[in-house]
Amino acid sequence: MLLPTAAFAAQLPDQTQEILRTAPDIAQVSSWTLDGLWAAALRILAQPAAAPLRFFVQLCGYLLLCGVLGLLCGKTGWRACLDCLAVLGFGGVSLAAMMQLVQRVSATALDCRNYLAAFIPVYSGAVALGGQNAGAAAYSGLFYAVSGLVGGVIGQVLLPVMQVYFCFAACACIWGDAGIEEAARLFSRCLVWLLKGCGAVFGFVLGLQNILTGAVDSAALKTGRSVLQGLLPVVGDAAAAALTGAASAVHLLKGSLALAGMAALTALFAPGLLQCFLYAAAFGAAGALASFGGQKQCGRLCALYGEGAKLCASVLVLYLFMVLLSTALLLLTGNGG
Amino acid sequence: MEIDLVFKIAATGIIVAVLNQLLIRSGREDQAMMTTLAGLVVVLTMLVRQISDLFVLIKALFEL
Amino acid sequence: MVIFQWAVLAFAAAVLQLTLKKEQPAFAFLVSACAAAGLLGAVAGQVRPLLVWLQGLEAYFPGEGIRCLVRVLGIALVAQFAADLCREAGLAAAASAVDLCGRALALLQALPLLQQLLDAFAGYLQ
Repeated sequence: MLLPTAAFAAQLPDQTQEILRTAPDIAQVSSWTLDGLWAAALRILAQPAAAPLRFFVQLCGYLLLCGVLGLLCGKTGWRACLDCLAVLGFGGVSLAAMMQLVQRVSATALDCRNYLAAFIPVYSGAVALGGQNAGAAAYSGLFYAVSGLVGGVIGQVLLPVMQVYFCFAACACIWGDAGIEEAARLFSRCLVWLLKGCGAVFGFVLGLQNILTGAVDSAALKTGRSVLQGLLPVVGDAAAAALTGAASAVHLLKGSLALAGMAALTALFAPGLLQCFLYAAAFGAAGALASFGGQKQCGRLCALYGEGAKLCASVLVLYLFMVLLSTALLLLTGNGG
Repeated sequence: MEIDLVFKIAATGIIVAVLNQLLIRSGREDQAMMTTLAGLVVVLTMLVRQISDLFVLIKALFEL
Repeated sequence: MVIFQWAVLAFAAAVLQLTLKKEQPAFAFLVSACAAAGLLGAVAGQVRPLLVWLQGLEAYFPGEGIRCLVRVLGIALVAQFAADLCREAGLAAAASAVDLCGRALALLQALPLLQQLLDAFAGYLQ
Protein backbone atom coordinates (compact mmCIF):
# COMPACT_ATOMS: atom_id res chain seq x y z
CA MET A 1 0.00 0.00 0.00
CA LEU A 2 1.51 3.27 -1.09
CA LEU A 3 1.25 6.12 1.36
CA PRO A 4 2.31 9.70 0.69
CA THR A 5 5.61 10.66 2.29
CA ALA A 6 4.05 13.15 4.63
CA ALA A 7 1.94 10.40 6.11
CA PHE A 8 4.95 8.95 7.82
CA ALA A 9 5.25 12.08 9.97
CA ALA A 10 4.24 10.68 13.33
CA GLN A 11 5.12 13.72 15.40
CA LEU A 12 2.67 16.35 16.45
CA PRO A 13 2.85 19.67 14.54
CA ASP A 14 5.24 22.23 16.00
CA GLN A 15 2.50 24.50 17.31
CA THR A 16 0.85 21.73 19.29
CA GLN A 17 4.19 20.57 20.64
CA GLU A 18 4.94 24.14 21.71
CA ILE A 19 1.62 24.45 23.52
CA LEU A 20 2.02 21.11 25.25
CA ARG A 21 5.60 21.95 26.23
CA THR A 22 4.69 25.28 27.83
CA ALA A 23 1.67 23.81 29.65
CA PRO A 24 2.28 23.30 33.38
CA ASP A 25 3.03 19.81 34.64
CA ILE A 26 1.41 17.94 37.53
CA ALA A 27 3.82 19.20 40.19
CA GLN A 28 3.26 22.80 39.18
CA VAL A 29 -0.51 22.38 39.00
CA SER A 30 -0.70 20.92 42.49
CA SER A 31 1.12 23.97 43.85
CA TRP A 32 -1.39 26.48 42.41
CA THR A 33 -3.33 28.48 44.98
CA LEU A 34 -6.67 30.19 44.48
CA ASP A 35 -5.14 33.64 45.06
CA GLY A 36 -2.37 32.92 42.61
CA LEU A 37 -4.86 31.74 39.99
CA TRP A 38 -7.05 34.83 40.52
CA ALA A 39 -4.07 37.18 40.24
CA ALA A 40 -2.87 35.40 37.12
CA ALA A 41 -6.35 35.52 35.56
CA LEU A 42 -6.66 39.26 36.30
CA ARG A 43 -3.24 39.90 34.81
CA ILE A 44 -4.03 38.00 31.64
CA LEU A 45 -7.51 39.46 31.20
CA ALA A 46 -6.71 43.08 32.13
CA GLN A 47 -4.92 43.80 28.90
CA PRO A 48 -7.70 42.83 26.44
CA ALA A 49 -10.35 44.36 28.71
CA ALA A 50 -8.72 47.80 28.63
CA ALA A 51 -9.76 48.68 25.07
CA PRO A 52 -13.51 47.94 25.43
CA LEU A 53 -13.65 49.78 28.76
CA ARG A 54 -11.96 52.83 27.27
CA PHE A 55 -14.34 52.64 24.32
CA PHE A 56 -17.35 52.52 26.66
CA VAL A 57 -16.12 55.61 28.51
CA GLN A 58 -15.75 57.41 25.15
CA LEU A 59 -19.30 56.41 24.13
CA CYS A 60 -20.77 57.62 27.41
CA GLY A 61 -18.85 60.87 27.18
CA TYR A 62 -20.07 61.42 23.64
CA LEU A 63 -23.70 60.80 24.61
CA LEU A 64 -23.40 63.10 27.61
CA LEU A 65 -21.92 65.83 25.46
CA CYS A 66 -24.69 65.51 22.90
CA GLY A 67 -27.27 65.64 25.67
CA VAL A 68 -25.78 68.80 27.14
CA LEU A 69 -25.48 70.56 23.79
CA GLY A 70 -29.00 69.47 22.89
CA LEU A 71 -30.26 71.07 26.07
CA LEU A 72 -28.53 74.31 25.13
CA CYS A 73 -30.11 74.19 21.68
CA GLY A 74 -33.60 73.69 22.97
CA LYS A 75 -36.46 72.31 20.93
CA THR A 76 -35.77 74.40 17.84
CA GLY A 77 -35.05 72.95 14.41
CA TRP A 78 -31.35 73.09 15.27
CA ARG A 79 -31.80 70.11 17.54
CA ALA A 80 -32.16 67.84 14.50
CA CYS A 81 -29.00 69.33 12.96
CA LEU A 82 -27.05 68.71 16.15
CA ASP A 83 -28.41 65.15 16.45
CA CYS A 84 -27.30 64.42 12.89
CA LEU A 85 -23.77 65.56 13.63
CA ALA A 86 -23.70 63.67 16.91
CA VAL A 87 -24.64 60.44 15.14
CA LEU A 88 -21.91 61.05 12.55
CA GLY A 89 -19.23 61.36 15.21
CA PHE A 90 -20.66 58.47 17.22
CA GLY A 91 -20.74 56.25 14.11
CA GLY A 92 -17.14 57.08 13.25
CA VAL A 93 -15.87 56.10 16.69
CA SER A 94 -17.93 52.88 16.85
CA LEU A 95 -16.97 51.83 13.32
CA ALA A 96 -13.25 52.17 14.08
CA ALA A 97 -13.57 50.03 17.21
CA MET A 98 -15.65 47.34 15.49
CA MET A 99 -13.28 47.08 12.55
CA GLN A 100 -10.43 46.45 14.98
CA LEU A 101 -12.49 43.71 16.62
CA VAL A 102 -13.26 42.05 13.29
CA GLN A 103 -9.59 42.18 12.32
CA ARG A 104 -8.69 40.54 15.63
CA VAL A 105 -11.24 37.78 15.01
CA SER A 106 -9.88 37.33 11.46
CA ALA A 107 -6.34 36.96 12.79
CA THR A 108 -7.49 34.36 15.33
CA ALA A 109 -9.43 32.55 12.58
CA LEU A 110 -6.37 32.47 10.33
CA ASP A 111 -4.22 31.10 13.16
CA CYS A 112 -6.80 28.40 13.83
CA ARG A 113 -7.00 27.40 10.15
CA ASN A 114 -3.21 27.07 9.93
CA TYR A 115 -3.23 25.11 13.17
CA LEU A 116 -5.90 22.72 11.90
CA ALA A 117 -4.30 22.36 8.47
CA ALA A 118 -1.12 21.07 10.09
CA PHE A 119 -3.03 18.17 11.61
CA ILE A 120 -4.10 16.27 8.54
CA PRO A 121 -0.76 14.79 7.38
CA VAL A 122 0.15 14.07 10.99
CA TYR A 123 -3.15 12.39 11.56
CA SER A 124 -2.93 10.13 8.51
CA GLY A 125 0.52 9.12 9.67
CA ALA A 126 -0.72 8.31 13.15
CA VAL A 127 -3.58 6.25 11.71
CA ALA A 128 -1.23 4.33 9.48
CA LEU A 129 1.05 3.55 12.41
CA GLY A 130 -1.66 2.90 14.95
CA GLY A 131 -3.63 0.52 12.81
CA GLN A 132 -7.03 2.12 13.51
CA ASN A 133 -9.99 0.66 11.66
CA ALA A 134 -11.03 2.15 8.34
CA GLY A 135 -14.39 3.47 9.51
CA ALA A 136 -13.01 5.55 12.32
CA ALA A 137 -10.22 6.72 10.05
CA ALA A 138 -12.66 7.84 7.37
CA TYR A 139 -14.83 9.60 9.88
CA SER A 140 -11.97 11.40 11.51
CA GLY A 141 -10.60 12.43 8.14
CA LEU A 142 -14.04 13.81 7.31
CA PHE A 143 -14.07 15.67 10.60
CA TYR A 144 -10.83 17.43 9.82
CA ALA A 145 -11.89 18.20 6.28
CA VAL A 146 -15.19 19.69 7.40
CA SER A 147 -13.50 21.72 10.13
CA GLY A 148 -11.16 23.11 7.53
CA LEU A 149 -14.06 23.89 5.21
CA VAL A 150 -16.08 25.61 7.92
CA GLY A 151 -13.06 27.59 9.02
CA GLY A 152 -12.40 28.63 5.45
CA VAL A 153 -15.98 29.69 4.83
CA ILE A 154 -16.03 31.78 7.99
CA GLY A 155 -12.68 33.39 7.33
CA GLN A 156 -13.13 34.14 3.62
CA VAL A 157 -16.84 34.87 3.43
CA LEU A 158 -18.41 35.62 6.76
CA LEU A 159 -15.88 38.04 8.22
CA PRO A 160 -15.76 40.33 5.14
CA VAL A 161 -19.57 40.30 5.08
CA MET A 162 -19.51 41.31 8.73
CA GLN A 163 -17.31 44.30 7.89
CA VAL A 164 -19.79 45.34 5.21
CA TYR A 165 -22.59 44.90 7.74
CA PHE A 166 -20.93 47.30 10.18
CA CYS A 167 -20.46 49.92 7.47
CA PHE A 168 -24.07 49.57 6.32
CA ALA A 169 -25.37 49.80 9.87
CA ALA A 170 -23.45 53.05 10.37
CA CYS A 171 -24.84 54.43 7.08
CA ALA A 172 -28.37 53.38 7.98
CA CYS A 173 -28.32 55.11 11.34
CA ILE A 174 -26.70 58.27 10.02
CA TRP A 175 -28.98 58.74 7.03
CA GLY A 176 -32.08 57.34 8.66
CA ASP A 177 -33.18 56.16 5.25
CA ALA A 178 -35.57 53.22 5.29
CA GLY A 179 -33.92 51.59 2.26
CA ILE A 180 -30.46 51.47 3.75
CA GLU A 181 -31.84 50.20 7.04
CA GLU A 182 -33.50 47.35 5.14
CA ALA A 183 -30.17 46.60 3.49
CA ALA A 184 -28.42 46.50 6.89
CA ARG A 185 -31.08 44.11 8.21
CA LEU A 186 -30.64 41.96 5.09
CA PHE A 187 -26.91 41.72 5.78
CA SER A 188 -27.60 40.77 9.37
CA ARG A 189 -29.97 37.99 8.22
CA CYS A 190 -27.37 36.81 5.69
CA LEU A 191 -24.71 36.62 8.42
CA VAL A 192 -27.00 34.73 10.78
CA TRP A 193 -27.91 32.29 7.97
CA LEU A 194 -24.24 31.67 7.10
CA LEU A 195 -23.29 31.13 10.73
CA LYS A 196 -26.27 28.81 11.27
CA GLY A 197 -25.18 26.82 8.21
CA CYS A 198 -21.62 26.45 9.48
CA GLY A 199 -22.86 25.51 12.93
CA ALA A 200 -25.27 22.94 11.48
CA VAL A 201 -22.59 21.31 9.32
CA PHE A 202 -20.24 21.13 12.27
CA GLY A 203 -22.93 19.66 14.53
CA PHE A 204 -23.89 17.13 11.86
CA VAL A 205 -20.33 15.92 11.51
CA LEU A 206 -20.05 15.61 15.27
CA GLY A 207 -23.13 13.48 15.47
CA LEU A 208 -22.19 11.17 12.57
CA GLN A 209 -20.45 8.65 14.71
CA ASN A 210 -19.81 8.81 18.37
CA ILE A 211 -16.13 7.94 18.35
CA LEU A 212 -15.65 9.68 21.64
CA THR A 213 -17.49 6.88 23.35
CA GLY A 214 -18.75 6.88 26.86
CA ALA A 215 -20.41 10.25 26.51
CA VAL A 216 -20.67 11.74 29.96
CA ASP A 217 -24.11 13.20 30.48
CA SER A 218 -24.29 14.75 33.89
CA ALA A 219 -26.29 17.58 35.37
CA ALA A 220 -23.37 19.97 35.00
CA LEU A 221 -23.16 19.13 31.33
CA LYS A 222 -26.89 19.69 30.84
CA THR A 223 -26.65 23.09 32.56
CA GLY A 224 -23.65 24.01 30.44
CA ARG A 225 -25.51 23.10 27.27
CA SER A 226 -28.60 25.09 28.16
CA VAL A 227 -26.46 28.10 29.08
CA LEU A 228 -24.67 27.93 25.75
CA GLN A 229 -27.89 27.59 23.82
CA GLY A 230 -29.33 30.61 25.56
CA LEU A 231 -26.26 32.80 25.63
CA LEU A 232 -24.84 32.53 22.17
CA PRO A 233 -26.92 33.61 19.25
CA VAL A 234 -27.11 31.25 16.30
CA VAL A 235 -24.37 28.75 17.19
CA GLY A 236 -25.69 27.92 20.63
CA ASP A 237 -27.02 24.52 19.50
CA ALA A 238 -23.82 23.53 17.71
CA ALA A 239 -21.75 24.72 20.66
CA ALA A 240 -23.95 22.71 23.02
CA ALA A 241 -23.38 19.56 20.92
CA ALA A 242 -19.67 20.33 20.84
CA LEU A 243 -19.67 20.71 24.60
CA THR A 244 -20.80 17.09 24.95
CA GLY A 245 -17.94 16.01 22.72
CA ALA A 246 -15.47 18.15 24.61
CA ALA A 247 -16.65 16.76 27.95
CA SER A 248 -16.21 13.22 26.65
CA ALA A 249 -12.70 14.12 25.50
CA VAL A 250 -11.93 15.56 28.92
CA HIS A 251 -13.24 12.39 30.54
CA LEU A 252 -11.05 10.24 28.33
CA LEU A 253 -7.95 12.38 28.67
CA LYS A 254 -8.36 12.75 32.40
CA GLY A 255 -5.16 12.19 34.25
CA SER A 256 -2.97 12.90 31.29
CA LEU A 257 -0.87 15.92 30.70
CA ALA A 258 -2.69 16.57 27.46
CA LEU A 259 -5.55 17.99 29.48
CA ALA A 260 -3.38 20.91 30.57
CA GLY A 261 -2.55 21.41 26.92
CA MET A 262 -6.26 21.67 26.06
CA ALA A 263 -6.70 24.19 28.87
CA ALA A 264 -3.82 26.20 27.45
CA LEU A 265 -5.54 26.18 24.04
CA THR A 266 -8.75 27.45 25.61
CA ALA A 267 -6.80 30.19 27.36
CA LEU A 268 -5.59 31.41 23.95
CA PHE A 269 -9.16 32.24 23.00
CA ALA A 270 -10.15 33.85 26.29
CA PRO A 271 -8.92 37.42 25.58
CA GLY A 272 -10.71 37.57 22.22
CA LEU A 273 -13.97 36.25 23.69
CA LEU A 274 -13.74 38.63 26.62
CA GLN A 275 -13.28 41.57 24.27
CA CYS A 276 -16.31 40.58 22.17
CA PHE A 277 -18.56 40.21 25.19
CA LEU A 278 -17.32 43.46 26.74
CA TYR A 279 -17.95 45.34 23.51
CA ALA A 280 -21.46 43.87 23.29
CA ALA A 281 -22.11 44.90 26.91
CA ALA A 282 -20.72 48.39 26.25
CA PHE A 283 -23.03 48.82 23.26
CA GLY A 284 -25.99 47.59 25.27
CA ALA A 285 -25.37 50.04 28.10
CA ALA A 286 -24.68 52.92 25.71
CA GLY A 287 -27.85 52.08 23.78
CA ALA A 288 -29.89 52.27 26.97
CA LEU A 289 -28.26 55.61 27.82
CA ALA A 290 -28.93 56.94 24.33
CA SER A 291 -32.61 55.97 24.43
CA PHE A 292 -32.89 57.55 27.86
CA GLY A 293 -31.35 60.76 26.56
CA GLY A 294 -33.65 60.85 23.54
CA GLN A 295 -30.94 60.07 20.99
CA LYS A 296 -32.90 57.55 18.93
CA GLN A 297 -30.43 57.16 16.07
CA CYS A 298 -27.50 56.57 18.41
CA GLY A 299 -29.60 53.99 20.26
CA ARG A 300 -30.35 52.12 17.01
CA LEU A 301 -26.67 52.19 16.08
CA CYS A 302 -25.75 50.72 19.46
CA ALA A 303 -28.33 47.94 19.06
CA LEU A 304 -27.07 46.96 15.58
CA TYR A 305 -23.42 47.04 16.63
CA GLY A 306 -24.14 45.05 19.79
CA GLU A 307 -25.61 42.29 17.63
CA GLY A 308 -22.51 42.39 15.45
CA ALA A 309 -20.23 42.04 18.48
CA LYS A 310 -22.24 39.02 19.69
CA LEU A 311 -21.90 37.45 16.23
CA CYS A 312 -18.12 37.89 16.48
CA ALA A 313 -18.22 36.11 19.84
CA SER A 314 -20.20 33.25 18.27
CA VAL A 315 -17.59 32.90 15.52
CA LEU A 316 -14.81 32.70 18.10
CA VAL A 317 -16.68 30.08 20.14
CA LEU A 318 -17.20 27.96 17.03
CA TYR A 319 -13.47 28.12 16.27
CA LEU A 320 -12.64 27.30 19.87
CA PHE A 321 -14.68 24.11 19.79
CA MET A 322 -13.28 23.12 16.40
CA VAL A 323 -9.72 23.51 17.67
CA LEU A 324 -10.41 21.76 20.98
CA LEU A 325 -12.12 18.77 19.44
CA SER A 326 -9.56 18.41 16.68
CA THR A 327 -6.70 18.46 19.17
CA ALA A 328 -8.49 16.01 21.42
CA LEU A 329 -9.07 13.69 18.46
CA LEU A 330 -5.42 13.80 17.53
CA LEU A 331 -4.23 13.19 21.06
CA LEU A 332 -6.62 10.30 21.54
CA THR A 333 -5.51 8.68 18.31
CA GLY A 334 -1.92 9.17 19.35
CA ASN A 335 -2.71 7.34 22.56
CA GLY A 336 -4.00 4.43 20.51
CA GLY A 337 -7.55 5.50 21.26
CA MET B 1 -23.66 97.85 30.64
CA GLU B 2 -26.49 96.29 28.65
CA ILE B 3 -29.24 97.93 30.66
CA ASP B 4 -27.52 101.33 30.31
CA LEU B 5 -27.48 100.97 26.56
CA VAL B 6 -31.14 99.92 26.47
CA PHE B 7 -32.09 102.98 28.51
CA LYS B 8 -29.94 105.21 26.30
CA ILE B 9 -31.65 103.92 23.17
CA ALA B 10 -35.06 104.30 24.77
CA ALA B 11 -34.25 107.82 25.93
CA THR B 12 -33.02 108.76 22.43
CA GLY B 13 -36.23 107.31 21.01
CA ILE B 14 -38.42 109.28 23.39
CA ILE B 15 -36.52 112.51 22.70
CA VAL B 16 -36.77 111.95 18.94
CA ALA B 17 -40.50 111.21 19.28
CA VAL B 18 -41.09 114.41 21.22
CA LEU B 19 -39.02 116.52 18.79
CA ASN B 20 -40.84 114.85 15.91
CA GLN B 21 -44.23 115.78 17.32
CA LEU B 22 -43.12 119.40 17.99
CA LEU B 23 -41.69 119.88 14.49
CA ILE B 24 -44.72 118.31 12.80
CA ARG B 25 -47.10 120.48 14.83
CA SER B 26 -45.13 123.61 13.80
CA GLY B 27 -45.35 122.52 10.17
CA ARG B 28 -41.72 121.56 9.51
CA GLU B 29 -42.20 117.95 8.43
CA ASP B 30 -38.97 117.61 6.48
CA GLN B 31 -36.96 118.71 9.53
CA ALA B 32 -38.96 116.24 11.59
CA MET B 33 -37.96 113.45 9.25
CA MET B 34 -34.32 114.53 9.36
CA THR B 35 -34.38 114.50 13.16
CA THR B 36 -35.77 110.99 13.16
CA LEU B 37 -33.10 109.86 10.73
CA ALA B 38 -30.34 111.50 12.79
CA GLY B 39 -31.59 109.78 15.92
CA LEU B 40 -31.69 106.44 14.13
CA VAL B 41 -28.14 106.85 12.87
CA VAL B 42 -26.83 107.70 16.35
CA VAL B 43 -28.60 104.73 17.89
CA LEU B 44 -27.45 102.42 15.11
CA THR B 45 -23.79 103.34 15.64
CA MET B 46 -24.12 102.52 19.34
CA LEU B 47 -25.94 99.27 18.64
CA VAL B 48 -23.67 98.10 15.83
CA ARG B 49 -20.68 98.48 18.13
CA GLN B 50 -22.35 96.30 20.75
CA ILE B 51 -23.47 93.67 18.25
CA SER B 52 -19.95 93.58 16.79
CA ASP B 53 -18.54 92.95 20.29
CA LEU B 54 -21.07 90.17 20.74
CA PHE B 55 -20.09 88.47 17.51
CA VAL B 56 -16.38 88.75 18.34
CA LEU B 57 -17.09 87.06 21.68
CA ILE B 58 -19.08 84.26 20.04
CA LYS B 59 -16.38 83.78 17.41
CA ALA B 60 -13.75 83.43 20.11
CA LEU B 61 -15.85 81.10 22.26
CA PHE B 62 -17.05 78.68 19.61
CA GLU B 63 -13.91 78.75 17.43
CA LEU B 64 -15.87 79.91 14.39
CA MET C 1 -27.87 85.24 41.04
CA VAL C 2 -27.35 86.74 37.63
CA ILE C 3 -30.71 85.48 36.34
CA PHE C 4 -32.57 88.16 38.30
CA GLN C 5 -30.62 90.95 36.59
CA TRP C 6 -31.35 89.45 33.22
CA ALA C 7 -35.04 89.11 34.00
CA VAL C 8 -35.16 92.77 35.05
CA LEU C 9 -33.38 93.77 31.83
CA ALA C 10 -35.88 91.87 29.72
CA PHE C 11 -38.81 93.35 31.59
CA ALA C 12 -37.49 96.93 31.26
CA ALA C 13 -36.83 96.46 27.57
CA ALA C 14 -40.36 95.15 27.05
CA VAL C 15 -41.88 98.16 28.78
CA LEU C 16 -39.75 100.65 26.82
CA GLN C 17 -40.49 98.87 23.57
CA LEU C 18 -44.24 99.04 24.20
CA THR C 19 -43.95 102.76 24.98
CA LEU C 20 -42.14 103.53 21.75
CA LYS C 21 -44.04 101.14 19.47
CA LYS C 22 -46.76 103.53 18.34
CA GLU C 23 -44.68 106.70 17.91
CA GLN C 24 -41.36 105.39 16.69
CA PRO C 25 -41.57 101.72 15.68
CA ALA C 26 -37.96 101.79 14.42
CA PHE C 27 -36.66 102.74 17.85
CA ALA C 28 -38.86 100.16 19.50
CA PHE C 29 -37.32 97.50 17.28
CA LEU C 30 -33.83 98.76 18.10
CA VAL C 31 -34.60 98.61 21.81
CA SER C 32 -35.66 94.97 21.53
CA ALA C 33 -32.64 94.15 19.35
CA CYS C 34 -30.30 95.71 21.88
CA ALA C 35 -31.89 93.79 24.73
CA ALA C 36 -31.61 90.50 22.83
CA ALA C 37 -27.96 91.15 21.94
CA GLY C 38 -27.14 92.08 25.50
CA LEU C 39 -28.73 88.95 26.94
CA LEU C 40 -27.01 86.76 24.36
CA GLY C 41 -23.64 88.31 25.22
CA ALA C 42 -24.25 87.77 28.93
CA VAL C 43 -25.15 84.11 28.35
CA ALA C 44 -22.07 83.57 26.17
CA GLY C 45 -19.91 84.98 28.94
CA GLN C 46 -21.48 82.63 31.51
CA VAL C 47 -21.13 79.57 29.27
CA ARG C 48 -17.41 80.24 28.70
CA PRO C 49 -16.08 77.90 31.47
CA LEU C 50 -18.22 75.03 30.13
CA LEU C 51 -16.89 75.50 26.61
CA VAL C 52 -13.29 75.72 27.81
CA TRP C 53 -13.81 72.43 29.70
CA LEU C 54 -15.34 70.82 26.58
CA GLN C 55 -12.37 71.90 24.50
CA GLY C 56 -10.12 70.38 27.13
CA LEU C 57 -11.93 67.04 26.63
CA GLU C 58 -10.92 66.97 22.98
CA ALA C 59 -7.84 64.96 23.84
CA TYR C 60 -9.96 62.02 25.02
CA PHE C 61 -12.17 61.79 21.96
CA PRO C 62 -10.65 60.65 18.70
CA GLY C 63 -11.39 62.68 15.61
CA GLU C 64 -13.01 66.06 15.10
CA GLY C 65 -16.29 65.32 16.85
CA ILE C 66 -16.26 67.82 19.69
CA ARG C 67 -14.92 70.76 17.71
CA CYS C 68 -17.58 70.27 15.02
CA LEU C 69 -20.37 70.05 17.56
CA VAL C 70 -19.28 73.21 19.39
CA ARG C 71 -19.00 75.13 16.11
CA VAL C 72 -22.46 74.02 15.07
CA LEU C 73 -23.80 75.26 18.39
CA GLY C 74 -22.25 78.68 17.75
CA ILE C 75 -23.68 78.83 14.23
CA ALA C 76 -27.08 77.84 15.58
CA LEU C 77 -27.04 80.63 18.17
CA VAL C 78 -26.13 83.37 15.70
CA ALA C 79 -28.49 82.18 12.97
CA GLN C 80 -31.39 81.87 15.41
CA PHE C 81 -30.69 85.40 16.71
CA ALA C 82 -30.61 86.91 13.23
CA ALA C 83 -33.73 85.05 12.09
CA ASP C 84 -35.68 86.13 15.14
CA LEU C 85 -34.68 89.75 14.62
CA CYS C 86 -35.85 89.60 11.01
CA ARG C 87 -39.13 88.03 12.05
CA GLU C 88 -39.70 90.70 14.64
CA ALA C 89 -39.20 93.40 12.03
CA GLY C 90 -41.77 91.62 9.87
CA LEU C 91 -39.30 90.20 7.32
CA ALA C 92 -40.47 86.56 7.21
CA ALA C 93 -38.68 85.83 3.92
CA ALA C 94 -35.37 87.16 5.19
CA ALA C 95 -35.80 85.14 8.38
CA SER C 96 -36.28 81.90 6.38
CA ALA C 97 -33.28 82.77 4.22
CA VAL C 98 -31.05 83.34 7.26
CA ASP C 99 -32.29 80.07 8.77
CA LEU C 100 -31.44 78.21 5.58
CA CYS C 101 -27.97 79.82 5.46
CA GLY C 102 -27.33 78.75 9.02
CA ARG C 103 -28.42 75.16 8.41
CA ALA C 104 -26.28 74.92 5.27
CA LEU C 105 -23.22 76.21 7.09
CA ALA C 106 -23.84 73.86 9.99
CA LEU C 107 -24.04 70.86 7.68
CA LEU C 108 -20.86 72.05 5.97
CA GLN C 109 -19.20 71.72 9.36
CA ALA C 110 -20.05 68.06 9.17
CA LEU C 111 -17.79 67.62 6.13
CA PRO C 112 -14.68 66.60 8.14
CA LEU C 113 -16.71 63.99 10.02
CA LEU C 114 -18.16 62.66 6.78
CA GLN C 115 -14.70 62.59 5.24
CA GLN C 116 -13.41 60.61 8.22
CA LEU C 117 -16.24 58.10 7.89
CA LEU C 118 -15.80 57.66 4.13
CA ASP C 119 -12.05 57.18 4.53
CA ALA C 120 -12.75 54.50 7.13
CA PHE C 121 -15.19 52.78 4.75
CA ALA C 122 -12.73 52.87 1.87
CA GLY C 123 -9.94 51.56 4.06
CA TYR C 124 -11.88 48.64 5.49
CA LEU C 125 -13.74 47.54 2.41
CA GLN C 126 -10.71 47.24 0.16
